[in-house]
Amino acid sequence: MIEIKSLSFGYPHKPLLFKDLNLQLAQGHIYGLLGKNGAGKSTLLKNMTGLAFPVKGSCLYNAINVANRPVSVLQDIYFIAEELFMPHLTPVQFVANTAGFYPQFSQSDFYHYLKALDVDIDSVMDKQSYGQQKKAMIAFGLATNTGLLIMDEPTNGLDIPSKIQFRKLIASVLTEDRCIVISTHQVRDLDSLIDTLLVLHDREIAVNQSLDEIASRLTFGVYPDVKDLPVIYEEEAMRGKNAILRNTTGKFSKVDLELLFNAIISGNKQVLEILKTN
Amino acid sequence: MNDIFNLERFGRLFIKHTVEHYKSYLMSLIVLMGFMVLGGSFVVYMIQIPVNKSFQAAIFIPILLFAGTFFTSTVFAGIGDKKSAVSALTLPASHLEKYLVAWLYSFVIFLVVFVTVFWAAVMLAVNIQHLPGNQPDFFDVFDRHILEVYILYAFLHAVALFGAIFFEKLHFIKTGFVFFILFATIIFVNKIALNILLGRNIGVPVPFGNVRFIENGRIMDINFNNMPDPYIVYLISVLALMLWVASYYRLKEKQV
Repeated sequence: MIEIKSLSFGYPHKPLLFKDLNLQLAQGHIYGLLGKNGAGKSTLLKNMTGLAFPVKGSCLYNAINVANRPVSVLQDIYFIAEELFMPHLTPVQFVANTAGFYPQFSQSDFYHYLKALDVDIDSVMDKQSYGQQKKAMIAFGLATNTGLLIMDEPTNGLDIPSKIQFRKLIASVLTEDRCIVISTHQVRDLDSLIDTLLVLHDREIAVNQSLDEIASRLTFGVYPDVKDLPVIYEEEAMRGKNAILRNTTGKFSKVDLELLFNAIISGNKQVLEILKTN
Repeated sequence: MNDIFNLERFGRLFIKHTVEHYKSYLMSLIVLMGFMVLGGSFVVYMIQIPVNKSFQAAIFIPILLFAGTFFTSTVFAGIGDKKSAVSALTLPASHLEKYLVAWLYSFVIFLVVFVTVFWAAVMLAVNIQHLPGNQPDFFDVFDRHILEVYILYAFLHAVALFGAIFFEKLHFIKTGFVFFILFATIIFVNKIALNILLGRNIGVPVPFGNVRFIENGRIMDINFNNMPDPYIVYLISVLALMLWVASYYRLKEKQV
Protein backbone atom coordinates (compact mmCIF):
# COMPACT_ATOMS: atom_id res chain seq x y z
CA MET A 1 0.00 0.00 0.00
CA ILE A 2 2.67 2.52 1.08
CA GLU A 3 6.14 1.96 -0.23
CA ILE A 4 8.95 4.27 0.77
CA LYS A 5 12.07 3.71 -1.31
CA SER A 6 15.51 5.08 -0.38
CA LEU A 7 13.93 8.23 0.95
CA SER A 8 16.18 11.05 2.11
CA PHE A 9 14.65 14.18 3.51
CA GLY A 10 15.91 17.31 5.20
CA TYR A 11 14.61 20.79 5.73
CA PRO A 12 16.53 23.56 3.93
CA HIS A 13 19.83 24.52 5.59
CA LYS A 14 19.53 21.65 8.08
CA PRO A 15 21.08 18.17 8.19
CA LEU A 16 19.14 15.27 6.70
CA LEU A 17 16.36 13.94 8.91
CA PHE A 18 16.16 10.63 7.05
CA LYS A 19 18.76 8.99 4.87
CA ASP A 20 17.95 6.16 2.45
CA LEU A 21 14.91 5.21 4.48
CA ASN A 22 12.91 2.20 3.30
CA LEU A 23 9.51 1.19 4.60
CA GLN A 24 6.52 -0.79 3.44
CA LEU A 25 3.10 -0.57 5.04
CA ALA A 26 0.39 -3.05 4.18
CA GLN A 27 -3.40 -3.13 4.36
CA GLY A 28 -5.12 -4.70 7.33
CA HIS A 29 -2.72 -3.35 9.93
CA ILE A 30 -2.63 -0.70 12.62
CA TYR A 31 0.88 0.70 12.82
CA GLY A 32 2.17 2.60 15.82
CA LEU A 33 4.94 5.03 14.94
CA LEU A 34 7.22 5.95 17.83
CA GLY A 35 10.21 8.22 17.98
CA LYS A 36 11.87 10.79 20.20
CA ASN A 37 10.93 14.44 19.92
CA GLY A 38 12.56 15.74 16.77
CA ALA A 39 13.16 12.25 15.34
CA GLY A 40 10.97 13.18 12.36
CA LYS A 41 7.70 11.31 12.99
CA SER A 42 5.50 14.16 11.75
CA THR A 43 7.87 14.81 8.85
CA LEU A 44 7.70 11.16 7.81
CA LEU A 45 3.90 11.33 7.89
CA LYS A 46 4.02 14.49 5.78
CA ASN A 47 6.19 12.68 3.23
CA MET A 48 3.60 9.89 3.19
CA THR A 49 0.77 12.33 2.49
CA GLY A 50 2.52 14.48 -0.13
CA LEU A 51 2.90 17.48 2.15
CA ALA A 52 6.70 17.30 2.09
CA PHE A 53 8.85 16.19 -0.82
CA PRO A 54 11.89 13.95 -0.40
CA VAL A 55 15.30 15.19 -1.45
CA LYS A 56 15.96 11.73 -2.82
CA GLY A 57 13.90 8.57 -3.25
CA SER A 58 10.13 8.38 -3.31
CA CYS A 59 7.01 7.57 -1.41
CA LEU A 60 4.45 5.58 -3.38
CA TYR A 61 0.81 4.91 -2.55
CA ASN A 62 -0.43 1.94 -4.55
CA ALA A 63 2.50 2.58 -6.93
CA ILE A 64 1.60 6.28 -7.41
CA ASN A 65 4.01 8.99 -6.25
CA VAL A 66 2.25 10.92 -3.47
CA ALA A 67 4.47 13.99 -3.93
CA ASN A 68 2.38 14.94 -6.98
CA ARG A 69 -0.73 14.94 -4.78
CA PRO A 70 -2.97 13.40 -7.47
CA VAL A 71 -6.70 13.48 -6.65
CA SER A 72 -6.95 9.70 -6.98
CA VAL A 73 -4.47 9.37 -4.10
CA LEU A 74 -5.77 12.25 -1.97
CA GLN A 75 -9.28 10.86 -1.96
CA ASP A 76 -8.01 7.57 -0.53
CA ILE A 77 -5.81 9.10 2.20
CA TYR A 78 -6.93 11.01 5.25
CA PHE A 79 -4.41 12.76 7.47
CA ILE A 80 -5.28 14.08 10.92
CA ALA A 81 -2.45 16.43 11.83
CA GLU A 82 -1.39 17.16 15.38
CA GLU A 83 -2.49 20.77 15.11
CA LEU A 84 -5.82 21.16 13.44
CA PHE A 85 -7.36 23.89 11.37
CA MET A 86 -11.05 24.22 12.15
CA PRO A 87 -13.37 26.27 9.95
CA HIS A 88 -16.06 28.48 11.44
CA LEU A 89 -18.70 25.79 10.79
CA THR A 90 -20.60 23.21 12.78
CA PRO A 91 -19.69 19.55 12.14
CA VAL A 92 -22.93 19.22 10.14
CA GLN A 93 -22.05 22.20 7.92
CA PHE A 94 -18.47 20.98 7.53
CA VAL A 95 -19.62 17.57 6.37
CA ALA A 96 -22.15 19.11 3.98
CA ASN A 97 -19.42 20.74 1.89
CA THR A 98 -16.40 18.50 2.51
CA ALA A 99 -17.70 14.93 2.57
CA GLY A 100 -18.36 14.99 -1.19
CA PHE A 101 -14.63 14.98 -1.88
CA TYR A 102 -14.32 11.49 -0.37
CA PRO A 103 -16.15 8.88 -2.46
CA GLN A 104 -16.40 6.35 0.38
CA PHE A 105 -17.61 8.84 3.00
CA SER A 106 -20.44 7.56 5.19
CA GLN A 107 -22.75 10.12 6.82
CA SER A 108 -24.25 7.53 9.14
CA ASP A 109 -20.77 6.44 10.30
CA PHE A 110 -19.85 10.07 10.92
CA TYR A 111 -22.83 10.73 13.19
CA HIS A 112 -22.26 7.41 14.92
CA TYR A 113 -18.62 8.33 15.67
CA LEU A 114 -19.58 11.82 16.82
CA LYS A 115 -22.07 10.33 19.23
CA ALA A 116 -19.62 7.72 20.47
CA LEU A 117 -16.99 10.40 21.08
CA ASP A 118 -19.56 12.73 22.66
CA VAL A 119 -19.08 15.65 20.24
CA ASP A 120 -21.68 18.41 20.11
CA ILE A 121 -22.89 18.51 16.49
CA ASP A 122 -24.45 21.96 16.79
CA SER A 123 -21.52 23.98 18.08
CA VAL A 124 -19.15 25.81 15.76
CA MET A 125 -15.94 23.82 15.42
CA ASP A 126 -13.42 26.63 15.84
CA LYS A 127 -15.10 27.58 19.14
CA GLN A 128 -14.93 24.06 20.55
CA SER A 129 -12.26 22.92 23.01
CA TYR A 130 -9.11 21.36 21.57
CA GLY A 131 -10.27 17.91 22.64
CA GLN A 132 -13.68 18.36 20.99
CA GLN A 133 -12.02 19.59 17.79
CA LYS A 134 -9.72 16.60 17.77
CA LYS A 135 -12.63 14.21 18.28
CA ALA A 136 -14.68 15.86 15.52
CA MET A 137 -11.80 15.43 13.06
CA ILE A 138 -11.17 11.85 14.18
CA ALA A 139 -14.87 11.12 13.54
CA PHE A 140 -14.60 12.74 10.10
CA GLY A 141 -11.37 10.89 9.28
CA LEU A 142 -12.83 7.53 10.27
CA ALA A 143 -16.02 8.23 8.28
CA THR A 144 -14.08 8.99 5.09
CA ASN A 145 -13.38 5.24 4.90
CA THR A 146 -10.14 5.94 3.07
CA GLY A 147 -7.71 3.11 2.46
CA LEU A 148 -5.03 4.90 4.48
CA LEU A 149 -5.77 6.81 7.67
CA ILE A 150 -2.84 8.63 9.24
CA MET A 151 -3.06 10.25 12.65
CA ASP A 152 -0.40 12.39 14.26
CA GLU A 153 -0.73 12.49 18.05
CA PRO A 154 -4.48 11.78 17.91
CA THR A 155 -4.86 11.30 21.65
CA ASN A 156 -3.41 14.71 22.58
CA GLY A 157 -6.15 16.67 24.31
CA LEU A 158 -8.45 13.67 24.80
CA ASP A 159 -9.72 12.89 28.28
CA ILE A 160 -9.57 9.33 29.61
CA PRO A 161 -13.12 8.27 28.55
CA SER A 162 -12.46 9.68 25.08
CA LYS A 163 -9.17 7.79 24.82
CA ILE A 164 -11.03 4.57 25.65
CA GLN A 165 -13.66 5.35 23.01
CA PHE A 166 -10.95 6.23 20.53
CA ARG A 167 -9.26 2.87 20.98
CA LYS A 168 -12.55 1.04 20.59
CA LEU A 169 -13.41 2.94 17.41
CA ILE A 170 -9.99 2.42 15.84
CA ALA A 171 -10.16 -1.30 16.55
CA SER A 172 -13.66 -1.45 15.07
CA VAL A 173 -12.88 0.35 11.78
CA LEU A 174 -9.88 -1.75 10.77
CA THR A 175 -10.70 -3.90 7.76
CA GLU A 176 -8.58 -5.98 5.42
CA ASP A 177 -8.56 -3.08 2.94
CA ARG A 178 -7.54 -0.43 5.38
CA CYS A 179 -4.24 0.68 6.85
CA ILE A 180 -4.02 2.91 9.91
CA VAL A 181 -0.88 4.70 11.07
CA ILE A 182 -0.81 6.33 14.49
CA SER A 183 2.12 8.44 15.54
CA THR A 184 2.44 9.38 19.18
CA HIS A 185 4.88 10.07 21.96
CA GLN A 186 2.30 8.80 24.47
CA VAL A 187 3.40 5.20 24.17
CA ARG A 188 0.81 3.89 26.64
CA ASP A 189 -1.99 5.07 24.36
CA LEU A 190 -0.95 2.47 21.80
CA ASP A 191 -1.14 -0.44 24.23
CA SER A 192 -3.51 -3.14 22.98
CA LEU A 193 -4.31 -1.04 19.93
CA ILE A 194 -1.56 -1.50 17.37
CA ASP A 195 -0.45 -4.73 15.80
CA THR A 196 2.81 -3.49 14.27
CA LEU A 197 5.44 -1.26 15.80
CA LEU A 198 7.52 1.26 13.88
CA VAL A 199 10.35 3.03 15.67
CA LEU A 200 12.05 5.95 14.02
CA HIS A 201 15.54 6.45 15.42
CA ASP A 202 18.81 7.87 14.14
CA ARG A 203 17.41 8.85 10.72
CA GLU A 204 16.10 5.38 9.96
CA ILE A 205 13.34 2.92 10.79
CA ALA A 206 14.99 1.00 13.61
CA VAL A 207 12.03 -1.35 14.12
CA ASN A 208 9.24 -2.43 11.78
CA GLN A 209 7.81 -5.57 13.30
CA SER A 210 4.53 -6.98 14.45
CA LEU A 211 4.01 -7.25 18.19
CA ASP A 212 3.81 -11.03 17.79
CA GLU A 213 7.24 -11.12 16.18
CA ILE A 214 8.65 -8.91 18.93
CA ALA A 215 7.07 -11.12 21.62
CA SER A 216 8.50 -14.22 19.96
CA ARG A 217 12.02 -12.82 20.33
CA LEU A 218 11.89 -10.82 23.53
CA THR A 219 10.34 -11.39 26.91
CA PHE A 220 9.07 -8.50 28.99
CA GLY A 221 8.46 -8.73 32.71
CA VAL A 222 8.77 -7.27 36.18
CA TYR A 223 11.34 -9.06 38.27
CA PRO A 224 12.14 -8.57 41.98
CA ASP A 225 15.74 -9.51 41.30
CA VAL A 226 17.53 -9.74 37.95
CA LYS A 227 20.95 -10.76 39.23
CA ASP A 228 20.94 -14.22 37.67
CA LEU A 229 18.87 -13.37 34.60
CA PRO A 230 20.27 -12.69 31.11
CA VAL A 231 18.81 -9.18 31.06
CA ILE A 232 19.19 -7.14 27.90
CA TYR A 233 17.69 -3.95 29.27
CA GLU A 234 16.26 -2.98 32.64
CA GLU A 235 14.62 -0.07 34.41
CA GLU A 236 13.83 0.51 38.06
CA ALA A 237 10.17 -0.05 38.94
CA MET A 238 7.99 0.07 42.06
CA ARG A 239 8.02 -3.70 42.52
CA GLY A 240 11.51 -4.49 41.32
CA LYS A 241 12.83 -4.10 37.81
CA ASN A 242 11.13 -3.89 34.44
CA ALA A 243 13.33 -5.94 32.19
CA ILE A 244 13.69 -7.20 28.65
CA LEU A 245 15.15 -10.65 28.13
CA ARG A 246 15.75 -12.79 25.10
CA ASN A 247 12.76 -15.09 24.64
CA THR A 248 14.18 -18.56 25.04
CA THR A 249 11.05 -20.29 26.25
CA GLY A 250 8.80 -19.70 23.24
CA LYS A 251 6.13 -18.25 25.50
CA PHE A 252 4.67 -14.88 24.53
CA SER A 253 4.64 -12.05 27.05
CA LYS A 254 2.83 -8.72 26.60
CA VAL A 255 5.11 -6.30 24.78
CA ASP A 256 5.94 -3.37 27.04
CA LEU A 257 6.10 -0.67 24.36
CA GLU A 258 7.48 1.98 26.66
CA LEU A 259 10.28 -0.25 27.92
CA LEU A 260 11.18 -1.39 24.41
CA PHE A 261 11.12 2.18 23.12
CA ASN A 262 13.37 3.35 25.98
CA ALA A 263 15.78 0.50 25.28
CA ILE A 264 16.04 1.47 21.62
CA ILE A 265 16.49 5.20 22.11
CA SER A 266 19.02 4.64 24.89
CA GLY A 267 21.20 3.01 22.24
CA ASN A 268 20.82 -0.62 23.34
CA LYS A 269 22.15 -2.42 20.28
CA GLN A 270 21.47 -5.92 21.56
CA VAL A 271 17.72 -5.38 21.49
CA LEU A 272 17.88 -4.26 17.87
CA GLU A 273 20.18 -7.13 16.91
CA ILE A 274 17.81 -9.69 18.40
CA LEU A 275 14.85 -8.11 16.66
CA LYS A 276 16.66 -8.08 13.34
CA THR A 277 17.84 -11.69 13.41
CA ASN A 278 15.79 -14.03 11.27
CA MET B 1 -11.99 10.76 -12.35
CA ASN B 2 -9.73 13.32 -14.03
CA ASP B 3 -6.73 14.26 -11.89
CA ILE B 4 -6.28 17.65 -13.60
CA PHE B 5 -9.76 19.18 -13.83
CA ASN B 6 -13.27 17.99 -13.16
CA LEU B 7 -16.15 20.46 -13.40
CA GLU B 8 -18.26 18.81 -10.72
CA ARG B 9 -15.35 18.73 -8.27
CA PHE B 10 -14.43 22.32 -9.15
CA GLY B 11 -18.01 23.39 -8.42
CA ARG B 12 -17.88 21.58 -5.08
CA LEU B 13 -14.60 23.29 -4.23
CA PHE B 14 -15.97 26.70 -5.23
CA ILE B 15 -18.99 26.18 -2.95
CA LYS B 16 -16.77 24.98 -0.08
CA HIS B 17 -14.53 28.02 -0.44
CA THR B 18 -17.55 30.33 -0.56
CA VAL B 19 -19.21 28.78 2.49
CA GLU B 20 -15.99 28.97 4.52
CA HIS B 21 -15.10 32.54 3.49
CA TYR B 22 -18.31 34.40 2.72
CA LYS B 23 -18.43 36.15 6.09
CA SER B 24 -14.96 37.64 5.79
CA TYR B 25 -15.59 38.51 2.12
CA LEU B 26 -18.85 40.27 2.99
CA MET B 27 -17.10 42.20 5.75
CA SER B 28 -14.38 43.25 3.30
CA LEU B 29 -17.06 44.35 0.86
CA ILE B 30 -18.76 46.45 3.53
CA VAL B 31 -15.42 48.07 4.42
CA LEU B 32 -14.86 48.86 0.73
CA MET B 33 -18.36 50.31 0.37
CA GLY B 34 -17.97 52.32 3.57
CA PHE B 35 -14.63 53.67 2.39
CA MET B 36 -16.07 54.74 -0.95
CA VAL B 37 -19.24 56.29 0.45
CA LEU B 38 -17.31 58.14 3.18
CA GLY B 39 -14.64 59.20 0.69
CA GLY B 40 -17.31 60.34 -1.79
CA SER B 41 -19.16 62.28 0.92
CA PHE B 42 -15.91 63.95 1.97
CA VAL B 43 -15.23 65.05 -1.60
CA VAL B 44 -18.78 66.32 -2.12
CA TYR B 45 -19.34 68.13 1.18
CA MET B 46 -15.91 69.07 2.46
CA ILE B 47 -13.62 69.95 -0.44
CA GLN B 48 -16.25 70.40 -3.15
CA ILE B 49 -14.18 69.22 -6.11
CA PRO B 50 -16.35 68.44 -9.16
CA VAL B 51 -16.74 64.66 -9.39
CA ASN B 52 -16.06 64.64 -13.13
CA LYS B 53 -14.66 61.92 -15.38
CA SER B 54 -11.00 62.67 -14.75
CA PHE B 55 -11.52 62.87 -11.00
CA GLN B 56 -13.41 59.56 -11.04
CA ALA B 57 -10.65 57.86 -13.01
CA ALA B 58 -7.96 59.37 -10.77
CA ILE B 59 -9.66 57.84 -7.74
CA PHE B 60 -10.65 54.57 -9.41
CA ILE B 61 -7.16 53.51 -10.47
CA PRO B 62 -5.20 53.70 -7.19
CA ILE B 63 -8.05 52.23 -5.11
CA LEU B 64 -8.47 49.35 -7.56
CA LEU B 65 -4.76 48.58 -7.60
CA PHE B 66 -4.36 48.83 -3.84
CA ALA B 67 -7.57 47.06 -2.77
CA GLY B 68 -7.18 44.38 -5.45
CA THR B 69 -3.61 43.47 -4.62
CA PHE B 70 -4.36 43.58 -0.90
CA PHE B 71 -7.31 41.21 -1.32
CA THR B 72 -5.32 38.94 -3.64
CA SER B 73 -2.51 38.68 -1.11
CA THR B 74 -5.00 37.09 1.31
CA VAL B 75 -6.54 34.44 -0.95
CA PHE B 76 -3.82 31.89 -0.31
CA ALA B 77 -3.36 32.79 3.36
CA GLY B 78 -4.69 29.29 4.09
CA ILE B 79 -1.63 27.60 2.66
CA GLY B 80 0.76 29.95 4.44
CA ASP B 81 -0.50 28.83 7.83
CA LYS B 82 0.75 25.31 8.58
CA LYS B 83 -2.48 24.19 10.26
CA SER B 84 -4.79 25.18 7.43
CA ALA B 85 -2.23 24.24 4.76
CA VAL B 86 -2.53 20.57 5.73
CA SER B 87 -6.28 20.52 5.14
CA ALA B 88 -6.05 22.72 2.03
CA LEU B 89 -3.30 20.72 0.31
CA THR B 90 -4.63 17.27 1.21
CA LEU B 91 -8.20 18.08 0.16
CA PRO B 92 -8.97 15.81 -2.81
CA ALA B 93 -9.11 18.44 -5.53
CA SER B 94 -6.45 19.13 -8.15
CA HIS B 95 -3.96 21.98 -7.88
CA LEU B 96 -5.55 23.56 -10.93
CA GLU B 97 -8.99 23.56 -9.32
CA LYS B 98 -7.62 25.05 -6.08
CA TYR B 99 -5.71 27.66 -8.06
CA LEU B 100 -8.69 28.56 -10.23
CA VAL B 101 -10.99 29.13 -7.25
CA ALA B 102 -8.50 31.63 -5.78
CA TRP B 103 -7.90 33.23 -9.19
CA LEU B 104 -11.62 33.59 -9.90
CA TYR B 105 -12.32 35.19 -6.54
CA SER B 106 -9.37 37.56 -6.55
CA PHE B 107 -9.44 38.58 -10.21
CA VAL B 108 -12.80 38.11 -11.91
CA ILE B 109 -15.21 38.34 -8.98
CA PHE B 110 -13.18 41.07 -7.28
CA LEU B 111 -13.11 43.19 -10.48
CA VAL B 112 -16.86 42.83 -11.06
CA VAL B 113 -17.69 43.65 -7.43
CA PHE B 114 -15.22 46.52 -7.27
CA VAL B 115 -16.40 48.17 -10.47
CA THR B 116 -20.05 47.79 -9.39
CA VAL B 117 -19.43 49.28 -5.94
CA PHE B 118 -17.30 52.09 -7.34
CA TRP B 119 -19.92 52.87 -9.97
CA ALA B 120 -22.66 52.99 -7.33
CA ALA B 121 -20.54 55.29 -5.12
CA VAL B 122 -19.84 57.60 -8.08
CA MET B 123 -23.55 57.68 -8.99
CA LEU B 124 -24.35 58.66 -5.43
CA ALA B 125 -21.65 61.35 -5.26
CA VAL B 126 -22.51 62.85 -8.64
CA ASN B 127 -26.22 62.95 -7.89
CA ILE B 128 -25.87 64.60 -4.49
CA GLN B 129 -23.32 67.16 -5.69
CA HIS B 130 -24.77 70.42 -6.99
CA LEU B 131 -21.98 72.73 -8.10
CA PRO B 132 -22.97 75.69 -10.29
CA GLY B 133 -22.32 75.04 -14.00
CA ASN B 134 -21.28 71.44 -13.38
CA GLN B 135 -22.96 68.82 -15.61
CA PRO B 136 -23.06 65.25 -14.23
CA ASP B 137 -20.77 62.96 -16.22
CA PHE B 138 -19.48 59.42 -15.65
CA PHE B 139 -16.27 57.82 -16.77
CA ASP B 140 -16.55 54.76 -18.99
CA VAL B 141 -15.29 51.64 -17.19
CA PHE B 142 -14.77 50.06 -20.61
CA ASP B 143 -12.80 52.99 -22.01
CA ARG B 144 -9.59 51.93 -23.82
CA HIS B 145 -7.36 53.58 -21.23
CA ILE B 146 -9.31 51.98 -18.38
CA LEU B 147 -8.95 48.61 -20.11
CA GLU B 148 -5.20 49.20 -19.99
CA VAL B 149 -5.59 49.79 -16.25
CA TYR B 150 -7.23 46.36 -16.00
CA ILE B 151 -4.17 44.89 -17.70
CA LEU B 152 -1.92 46.68 -15.22
CA TYR B 153 -4.17 45.27 -12.48
CA ALA B 154 -3.76 41.79 -14.00
CA PHE B 155 0.02 42.18 -13.73
CA LEU B 156 -0.08 43.43 -10.14
CA HIS B 157 -2.66 40.73 -9.31
CA ALA B 158 -0.25 38.11 -10.66
CA VAL B 159 2.57 39.57 -8.54
CA ALA B 160 0.33 39.57 -5.43
CA LEU B 161 -0.89 36.03 -6.17
CA PHE B 162 2.66 34.74 -6.49
CA GLY B 163 3.59 36.47 -3.22
CA ALA B 164 0.50 35.05 -1.54
CA ILE B 165 1.72 31.53 -2.31
CA PHE B 166 5.42 32.18 -1.88
CA PHE B 167 5.39 33.84 1.54
CA GLU B 168 3.98 32.22 4.67
CA LYS B 169 2.88 35.39 6.44
CA LEU B 170 2.72 39.18 5.97
CA HIS B 171 2.08 38.41 2.31
CA PHE B 172 1.12 41.92 1.21
CA ILE B 173 4.01 43.70 2.92
CA LYS B 174 6.64 41.16 1.88
CA THR B 175 5.41 41.01 -1.72
CA GLY B 176 5.31 44.81 -1.95
CA PHE B 177 8.78 45.08 -0.44
CA VAL B 178 10.32 42.56 -2.85
CA PHE B 179 8.45 44.05 -5.82
CA PHE B 180 9.66 47.60 -5.18
CA ILE B 181 13.22 46.48 -4.43
CA LEU B 182 13.28 44.49 -7.68
CA PHE B 183 11.73 47.35 -9.62
CA ALA B 184 14.28 49.86 -8.25
CA THR B 185 17.14 47.44 -8.98
CA ILE B 186 16.00 46.90 -12.56
CA ILE B 187 15.74 50.66 -13.16
CA PHE B 188 19.17 51.21 -11.62
CA VAL B 189 20.80 48.46 -13.71
CA ASN B 190 18.93 49.68 -16.79
CA LYS B 191 20.20 53.22 -16.21
CA ILE B 192 23.83 52.10 -15.85
CA ALA B 193 23.56 49.91 -18.97
CA LEU B 194 21.99 52.71 -21.03
CA ASN B 195 24.50 55.29 -19.78
CA ILE B 196 27.34 53.02 -20.94
CA LEU B 197 25.57 52.11 -24.20
CA LEU B 198 24.66 55.67 -25.23
CA GLY B 199 27.50 57.54 -23.49
CA ARG B 200 25.03 59.96 -21.92
CA ASN B 201 23.40 60.58 -18.59
CA ILE B 202 19.96 59.02 -19.09
CA GLY B 203 16.92 60.04 -17.05
CA VAL B 204 15.05 57.42 -14.98
CA PRO B 205 14.62 54.65 -17.61
CA VAL B 206 11.54 52.47 -17.06
CA PRO B 207 12.30 49.07 -18.64
CA PHE B 208 11.05 48.88 -22.24
CA GLY B 209 9.96 52.53 -22.01
CA ASN B 210 11.34 55.68 -23.61
CA VAL B 211 14.93 56.78 -23.23
CA ARG B 212 15.18 60.44 -22.20
CA PHE B 213 18.28 62.62 -21.93
CA ILE B 214 19.28 66.27 -22.24
CA GLU B 215 21.46 67.35 -25.14
CA ASN B 216 22.43 70.94 -25.84
CA GLY B 217 19.83 72.08 -23.37
CA ARG B 218 17.04 70.19 -25.15
CA ILE B 219 15.12 67.20 -23.81
CA MET B 220 15.52 64.27 -26.21
CA ASP B 221 13.19 61.24 -26.25
CA ILE B 222 13.93 57.98 -28.04
CA ASN B 223 11.05 55.57 -28.46
CA PHE B 224 9.57 53.05 -30.85
CA ASN B 225 7.94 54.87 -33.72
CA ASN B 226 4.16 54.53 -33.93
CA MET B 227 3.87 51.77 -31.36
CA PRO B 228 4.64 53.08 -27.91
CA ASP B 229 1.57 52.05 -25.89
CA PRO B 230 0.56 48.60 -27.19
CA TYR B 231 4.14 47.43 -26.82
CA ILE B 232 4.10 48.01 -23.06
CA VAL B 233 0.55 46.65 -22.79
CA TYR B 234 1.53 43.41 -24.54
CA LEU B 235 4.62 43.12 -22.41
CA ILE B 236 2.68 43.58 -19.17
CA SER B 237 0.08 41.06 -20.36
CA VAL B 238 2.79 38.48 -21.08
CA LEU B 239 4.41 39.14 -17.69
CA ALA B 240 1.03 38.72 -15.96
CA LEU B 241 0.47 35.41 -17.77
CA MET B 242 3.96 34.20 -16.85
CA LEU B 243 3.45 35.08 -13.19
CA TRP B 244 0.02 33.40 -13.12
CA VAL B 245 1.60 30.23 -14.50
CA ALA B 246 4.50 30.55 -12.04
CA SER B 247 2.00 30.91 -9.17
CA TYR B 248 0.26 27.71 -10.25
CA TYR B 249 3.54 25.79 -10.24
CA ARG B 250 4.48 27.35 -6.91
CA LEU B 251 1.19 26.00 -5.52
CA LYS B 252 2.00 22.55 -6.92
CA GLU B 253 5.37 22.64 -5.18
CA LYS B 254 4.06 23.98 -1.88
CA GLN B 255 5.21 21.97 1.14
CA VAL B 256 4.21 22.15 4.77
